Amino acid sequence: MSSEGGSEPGSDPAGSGEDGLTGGGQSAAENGPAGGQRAGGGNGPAGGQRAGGGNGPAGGQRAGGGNGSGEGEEPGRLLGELAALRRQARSARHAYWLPLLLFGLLSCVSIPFYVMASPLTRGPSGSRAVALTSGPTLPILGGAPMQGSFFLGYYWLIALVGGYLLCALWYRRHARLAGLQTPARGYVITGVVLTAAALLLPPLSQFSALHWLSVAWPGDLVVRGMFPFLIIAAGLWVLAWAERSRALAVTAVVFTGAALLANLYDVENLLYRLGWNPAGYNWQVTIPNMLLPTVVLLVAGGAAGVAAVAARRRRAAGASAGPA
Amino acid sequence: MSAEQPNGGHPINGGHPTNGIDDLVHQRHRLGILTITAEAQLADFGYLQEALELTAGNLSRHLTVLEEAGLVQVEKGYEGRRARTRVRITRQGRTALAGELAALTELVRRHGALS
Repeated sequence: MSSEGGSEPGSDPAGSGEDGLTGGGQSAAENGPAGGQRAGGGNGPAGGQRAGGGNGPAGGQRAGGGNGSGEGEEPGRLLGELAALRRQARSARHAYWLPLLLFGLLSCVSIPFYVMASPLTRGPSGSRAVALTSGPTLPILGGAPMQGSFFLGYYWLIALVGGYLLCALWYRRHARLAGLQTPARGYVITGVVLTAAALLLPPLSQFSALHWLSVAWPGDLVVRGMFPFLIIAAGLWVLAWAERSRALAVTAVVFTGAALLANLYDVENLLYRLGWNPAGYNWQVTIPNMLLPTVVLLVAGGAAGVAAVAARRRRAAGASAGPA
Repeated sequence: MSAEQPNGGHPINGGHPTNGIDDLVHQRHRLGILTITAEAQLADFGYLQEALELTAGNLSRHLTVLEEAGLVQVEKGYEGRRARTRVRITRQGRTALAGELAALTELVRRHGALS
C-alpha cells in the first residue's frame, strides 16, 4: 500500500502531480491520457507498474493502437486485475454467515416450544384439522397445531423480528469495519414484512370484506407449525442476491427444499424407515421436522463463518506482506 | 470520443472495439474505483485507497473526475468526530463500466482470434 496516510479526500486538494503508486516515477509521456490530463495527477496503471511496464491501456499501448501483441495483452491483464478487485471486494463484503447461524440458533431455541406443543390436531377422519382461525395462537407463525401451547407462535414472532433487526445491525457494523456496505435493507424488509403478514393475515381475514385473504395461507403450509422456516427461506433468497453469493444461493435452494419438506411431510416417517421409532413422545411429529432446516442453517452458517475467517486471515497476511 | 461523455454502454459501435473505450473510464484506477463501487452499495474512501494502493490526494482527484462525469456520488459525513467519506456508483457509472468491460472483452476476444 502506498498511501501517505489516512487522510480523507480534500486533504490534498491541489495534488502534487506525482503518481502516488507503488511503482511511481512515470514520466508524463508514459501516463495514460485520461490520468495525465483530466485528473491532473499523472496516474498510470498500477498493474503495469508492478508487471514492470509503464504504460496503461489508455497510455502508450492504447488498445487497438496497431501493436498486434500488445492489443490483447493489456486489456486481458486489465480485465484480470479488475476481476481480482471484484473478488477481493466481494470477499470482504460477504457477511452472511451470521444471519445463517443466528437463525439456526433461534431455531434451536424453539425446540422447547415444539416439545411443549401437543400432537397435531386430528379431524374425525384422522386427517389433520388446521385451526385456521384468528386467536392467540398466531397460527401461521407456528401456533396452528399447538393447541396446548400458543407460545410457539409468539416465540417465532419475537425471534423473527428480533433476528432481522439484529441482522440489520450486523450489516451496518460489518460495513463500518470492512469499508464496503452490502445492500441488506431488502433482506431485513422482506423478513419483517413477511412476518407481519403472517401475523396479520388471520385476524384480517376474519372480516367479511377481507375473507378472501384466507386463501393466501394454504393450510398445508401451516399445519405443522413450520411456516417460519419458509419466511427465513424467502429472506435467504433476497440476501443471496444482495450478497451476490453463489454459495448462499445454493444454501437458499437447499434450505427452501428442507423447509418445504418440513412443512409438507412428516420427517418422522423417514426416520421410522431408518429404524428410529420414538413412539409415545408427542414431539416425534414436530422435532424431526424442525431439526431438518435447522441443521441446514447451522452447517451452512458454520462453513461460511470458517470461510470468512480464512478470507480475513488471507487479507491480513496480504496486507502485512505489502504490495508486490 | 469525448472524455466528458461516457460511452453509455455502446462499446463496439459497429467498428473496432476501441471505439467503445471511453478515456475517462478507461484509466486503470478509475476503472478500479467503478469496479469496486459496483460491488457494494457504498465503498469507504479508505477501502478504495487501500485496494487501489493510491494516495489520498490521488484517489480524491480520480473521484472528482468520476463525480463530475456523474459516474459516482461522493458522500461526506462524520462518524463521531471522525470524518468519513463513502462512494456510491450511479446508474450511469454502471452503464459506463459495463460498456468498458464489454469493449475490453471484445478486444481480448479479437486478439485471441488473430493469434
